[in-house]
Amino acid sequence: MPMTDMSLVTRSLRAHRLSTIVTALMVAIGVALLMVLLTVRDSASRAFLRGTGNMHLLVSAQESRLESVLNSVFHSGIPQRVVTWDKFQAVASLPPVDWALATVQGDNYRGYATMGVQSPFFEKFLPDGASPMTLASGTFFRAGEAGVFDVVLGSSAAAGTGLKVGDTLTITHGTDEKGHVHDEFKFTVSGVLSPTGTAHDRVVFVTAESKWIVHADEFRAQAARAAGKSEHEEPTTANLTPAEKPVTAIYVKMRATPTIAQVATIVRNELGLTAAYPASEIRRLLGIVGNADVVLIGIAIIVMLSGALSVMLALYNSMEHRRRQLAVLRVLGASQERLLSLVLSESAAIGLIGAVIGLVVAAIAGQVTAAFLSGALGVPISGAVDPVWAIIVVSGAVLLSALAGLVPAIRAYRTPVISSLRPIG
Amino acid sequence: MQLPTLEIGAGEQVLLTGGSGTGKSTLLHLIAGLIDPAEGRVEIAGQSVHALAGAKRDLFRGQHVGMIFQTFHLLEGFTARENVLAALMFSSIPPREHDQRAADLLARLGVQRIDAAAGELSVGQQQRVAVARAVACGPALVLADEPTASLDPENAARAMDVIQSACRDQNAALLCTSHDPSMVARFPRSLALESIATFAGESNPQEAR
Repeated sequence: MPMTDMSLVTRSLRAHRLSTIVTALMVAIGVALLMVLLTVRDSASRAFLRGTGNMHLLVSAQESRLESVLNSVFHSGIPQRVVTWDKFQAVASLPPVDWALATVQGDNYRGYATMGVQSPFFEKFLPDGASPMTLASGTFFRAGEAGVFDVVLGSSAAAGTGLKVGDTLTITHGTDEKGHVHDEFKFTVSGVLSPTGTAHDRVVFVTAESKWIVHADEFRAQAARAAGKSEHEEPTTANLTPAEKPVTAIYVKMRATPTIAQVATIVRNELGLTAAYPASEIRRLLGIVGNADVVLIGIAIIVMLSGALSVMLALYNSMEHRRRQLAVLRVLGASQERLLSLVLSESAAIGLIGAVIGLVVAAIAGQVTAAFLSGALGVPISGAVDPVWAIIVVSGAVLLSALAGLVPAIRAYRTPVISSLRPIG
Repeated sequence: MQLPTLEIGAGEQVLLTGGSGTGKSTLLHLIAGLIDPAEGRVEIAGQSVHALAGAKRDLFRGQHVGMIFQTFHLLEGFTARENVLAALMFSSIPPREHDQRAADLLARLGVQRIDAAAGELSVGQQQRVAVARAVACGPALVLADEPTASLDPENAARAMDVIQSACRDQNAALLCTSHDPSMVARFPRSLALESIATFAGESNPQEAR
């Protein structure tokens, strides 16, 4: 094989193997750190924004708009205040409203939040903003009384609980899986949803009616005991009173977007409820969290700069040992510019090796971090490395390393030929 | 140093003698274009070396001038073959011929382990690799700077045989410096630097950039 500039560079890298490995690893750490942070940050942002779906407003009785979004869309907690059935109907009947979906939160199954919804929920609400929920198996809630205690599992909830179509379950009061079990009501899994890539994948969907019945039964029993009676009328969808049909949040979509603000004003001023723009609230949250991101990404960039600095020092120090070799290359016909280019190529090559190692580490660490955060935040976060960021960060690392090679390259450029070739000893 | 016209014919072998510090090496560096003359010019194969600047002069040197050093200066970590290939990088010989040319040249000069690291070879073998590298590009002129200074008489004679025969094979002119009077007999023409040059004052020649 004829000798080329690239073979001279690879030979030099091999000749200084330990230094090459150490400096490449320094670059790799910076690249991996930056890639993981960028990947997780972007993925988390997408997951949060995607989860708000196609709703325009989230109406609730909570005071904080952000908290209402986190609770009712991302299931971070249970709303403490409820919207009455009358007010729900008032919202649903506003002329600009295309649809209003009542949701009833509270209770869990083995730690997975349950959410009571009515059948149109699966048809109207598009969790990713583009397509409705689809079934991986089974059916949505069956119509009529037969389907009141049906359960539709989000994909992660199904995977996490091991439940499948036809299985029965009982739900637990509150968010703690060790809470009171509503064991007098058996639910049956009617369907399992395909993944949506949103927080809804972790939800156990039940009918709103079943939620109301379970809790109305408790209230009626308490009332009967207080009245000295041993029995109470069993609640059914037909005999539930409006007071027994509380709603924790309402997903609302308008017929036309210009009317969103108008409806929000009515909801706030006339109904005394909270109207939140979910996407805006999430952007506000991400803006707050983003300040921490900037610090972390800044640290990662400093680590990358340290890697580049180590490339510079390693190459600069090696120039003293390589003076004779550089001078021989000059005698053989290499120009000063060629030596400069060889050293720059060598530093860029170290950057490239480091960046590739960093990407591999980021691919693994990204998955681990994403899995941890998915569990902690309750939203599906992907750890897959974004190819666009990968190209930007790798190019940046190579460019930075090449720039770091500039100082040793100038030293190589200035290598005096005659004094470097004086007989040894 | 002031030097009147000195002409070396194609394929001619000339010995330049002189005591230590008389400027033999400086003259070779000047001819190779590593030092600029205060005035005058050096022509090799019809090209004025110092009329060329920067990379052009370096490339011209690589293609037309071979250099052999007292301590060989082989590239560390490179094999014998790679040392010759490194010289061929800068030649006008097509790259597909480099490998074969390096192997043939090393074989003709008696280098046995062409894929061994140059540092692992005996001194004699290293000398041959250095000679092969100097003549690899088919130079018009080979400059040998005290090539036998560190060798005993027997090995010095062998080394000179190799250098002189390699230059003859490549039809390259040879200008060899030595302070060893016994070398005179090996060359059809020998010049004492003190007799062809005049010296005035102290000098500190600047390396060409």
